[in-house]
Amino acid sequence: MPRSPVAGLGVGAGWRPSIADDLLDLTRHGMSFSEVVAENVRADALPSQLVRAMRAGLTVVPHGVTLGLAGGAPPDPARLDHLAALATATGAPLVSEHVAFVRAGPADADADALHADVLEAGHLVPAARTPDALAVLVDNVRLAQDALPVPLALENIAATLSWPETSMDEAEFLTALTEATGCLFLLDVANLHATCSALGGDPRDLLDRMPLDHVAYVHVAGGFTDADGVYWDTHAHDMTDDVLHLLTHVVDVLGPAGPPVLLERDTDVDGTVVRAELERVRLAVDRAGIRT
Amino acid sequence: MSRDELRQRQELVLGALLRGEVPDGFDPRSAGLTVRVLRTKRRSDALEAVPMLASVVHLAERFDRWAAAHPRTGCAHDDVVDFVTDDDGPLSEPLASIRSVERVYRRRTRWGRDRRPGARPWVVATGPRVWHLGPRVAPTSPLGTSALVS
Repeated sequence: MPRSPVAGLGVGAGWRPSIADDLLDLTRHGMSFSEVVAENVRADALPSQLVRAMRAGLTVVPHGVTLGLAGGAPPDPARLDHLAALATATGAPLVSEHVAFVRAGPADADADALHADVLEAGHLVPAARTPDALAVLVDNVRLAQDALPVPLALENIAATLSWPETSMDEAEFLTALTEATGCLFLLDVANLHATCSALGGDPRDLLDRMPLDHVAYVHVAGGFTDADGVYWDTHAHDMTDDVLHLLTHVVDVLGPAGPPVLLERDTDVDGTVVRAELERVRLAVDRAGIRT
Repeated sequence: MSRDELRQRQELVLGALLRGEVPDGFDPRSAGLTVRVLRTKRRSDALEAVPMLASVVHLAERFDRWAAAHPRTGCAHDDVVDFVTDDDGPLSEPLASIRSVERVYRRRTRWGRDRRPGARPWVVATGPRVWHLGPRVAPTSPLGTSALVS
């Protein structure tokens, strides 16, 4: 029995305003899974095409990018309220976020996200993986879970930064996190490939030790490998064969009718690109012998 | 390590990375990759917020140099306005006028020119007030000016 509350929903694409009509059309032709970036929509004014797609059967997961759960500060209550309201408005069976921190600053600045002393990374930054950092992360995740009406899934990010004090590898850290909090795992295949490309390691070896019984759904995205051999997770390019092969392996490991696979494409995106990339995702999934 | 110690450690490391520096004790390669990621992401956010920024010559070099000295404290729109205000390189319209006007409002200069269609051409600061003076520059339109006043 899969733990994923969205198991069996097949292959989908992330909702973006520029491809809203295409995603609505895809939904009417069988696509049943999507995700919306939480910070880009309002719970009391969902985009009309998104609402129509939901009525046509699309399951939508609100995906947050600014909670910064791996930061030293507790998660901002206003951001949690927004995520909770979106979960209710979309009827989502879960919401998702990242194992990352996105800002840092003095304690008295927490209440004001635009406080002049708060450093905004503008990106998802990996925290050190130590038992102490894990304890703070676990505490933050529990605070988030208490504020949310649905389960929370947390994603492995594309990491380029290696902290000198890190004493646990990513698989150990994520396994400890899911066991301590009961949170679900959003497995990003492209991020896994990117992290190993930048910092070393074998993605399949790491994958085998990840908390795979907690996987809610799978992310896949495009990027490119530069002249130095470093893979950049851009969400602006087509998927590489390396990432698609890893996706096939992931689906093989997770088994049939398991967690759905979601394509993330943020830039240089139009209906033609998304349809073509979705077809490549389906082929990669089918190669694992899984019916979608 | 307490929450406060973790927060201070992350602030120290993130601050260095945003300045383009390798934090003490970090592997220079991984820190360098992260500096590149943070710079690219911030510049991409600015471009997404204001696509006309793409017209700026040597944008990556100019924006990244500015960003390293100015940690992000607001949204991507704030970044764009702050960047064009601080930057001294060549800008095309309407960014050049935005820079000129913004410098007056921030009291970097006493007066500036606003060459945007429909704007009064002179912007002057006197005490706490900023005045927009002179006859409005007629907007240009493919339909001709008569279409705009009919």
